[in-house]
Amino acid sequence: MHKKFMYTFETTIYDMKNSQLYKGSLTTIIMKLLEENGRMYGYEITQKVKLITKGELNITEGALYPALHKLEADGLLDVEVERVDNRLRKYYKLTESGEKETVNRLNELEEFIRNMQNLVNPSPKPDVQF
Amino acid sequence: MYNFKHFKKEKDMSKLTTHQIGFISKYLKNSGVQYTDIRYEMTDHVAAALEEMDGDFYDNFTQYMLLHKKELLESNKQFSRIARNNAFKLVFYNFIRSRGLLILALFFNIGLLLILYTDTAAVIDFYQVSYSVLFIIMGVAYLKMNLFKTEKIWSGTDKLLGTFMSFMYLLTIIVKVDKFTDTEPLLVLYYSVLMSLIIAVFISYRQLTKKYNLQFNG
Repeated sequence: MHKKFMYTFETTIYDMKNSQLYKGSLTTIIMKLLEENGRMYGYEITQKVKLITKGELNITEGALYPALHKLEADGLLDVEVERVDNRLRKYYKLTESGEKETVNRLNELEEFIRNMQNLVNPSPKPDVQF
Repeated sequence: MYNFKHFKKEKDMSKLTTHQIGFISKYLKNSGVQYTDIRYEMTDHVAAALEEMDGDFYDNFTQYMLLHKKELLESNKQFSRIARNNAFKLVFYNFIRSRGLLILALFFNIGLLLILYTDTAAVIDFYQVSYSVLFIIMGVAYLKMNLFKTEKIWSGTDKLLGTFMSFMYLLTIIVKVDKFTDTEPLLVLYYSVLMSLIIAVFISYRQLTKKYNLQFNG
């Protein structure tokens, strides 16, 4: 498929069928990526998420940058600006408190996934089996 | 006669030229992305996306903007809101920290001393005039930034001055303090708080300007 038409399908903040499910996890996703990759710039983050999720999750500018700026305002991200390819590029990386907060948020997310899994696929109770 | 069209090499779309980057930036500015810091980041995002596309730059740009312009402008609105909230937090922080409280205490105590040893009405007038002068200075700084748009406009500094100009103007119009009280120490306290707040705004403005210059100008 011509690369030009790749963007035809990238019109929603997230995949429409699961947008609300991902919405609350965006900052955790961003922080996790930065923890793994050191420093990243905005477009790089969107492409990485798309790659990891095989195109299932597309984060748009309207969702990503406000989240990044909020994290920066909260002191969880630091910023470095460099001149790259005829323009200025803003890189984000975790601060010390950001690294600690990432661990907390990932633990919360794991617990959430565990609880949801128990709710959606409860394990059968032995005393109720026929 | 050769048809040179066959020999025309497709422009290498891997890196955009300075002219193309400038085109993107100008387009965003004309679309309402007035703040320099926000525009830098958006330009980079758009440029990075276009660099992954084959074909003519202008065709790709048109295609990209058809699909993403709404999102870009939406994020611009949110940036502005975040910048305003950050400005409020910074001013509040500068107002309540020790330096801010010291300035407030200084204004208040000087006022009280002047009341004890000079004409009370003159002291209140002096404080009113001092507050007005500081307010005008803040207004001039804001107008300079917006009317003479030769300098870069940073979202944080613009929101800081604009928001507090409006806030303090409304406060002065709505809260006519001399109608509520004629107790001189309270009046001195009121104007001392206002002047300390403006000083906190100036301190915050300097801090933000320094931060933006360090980040974007090296």
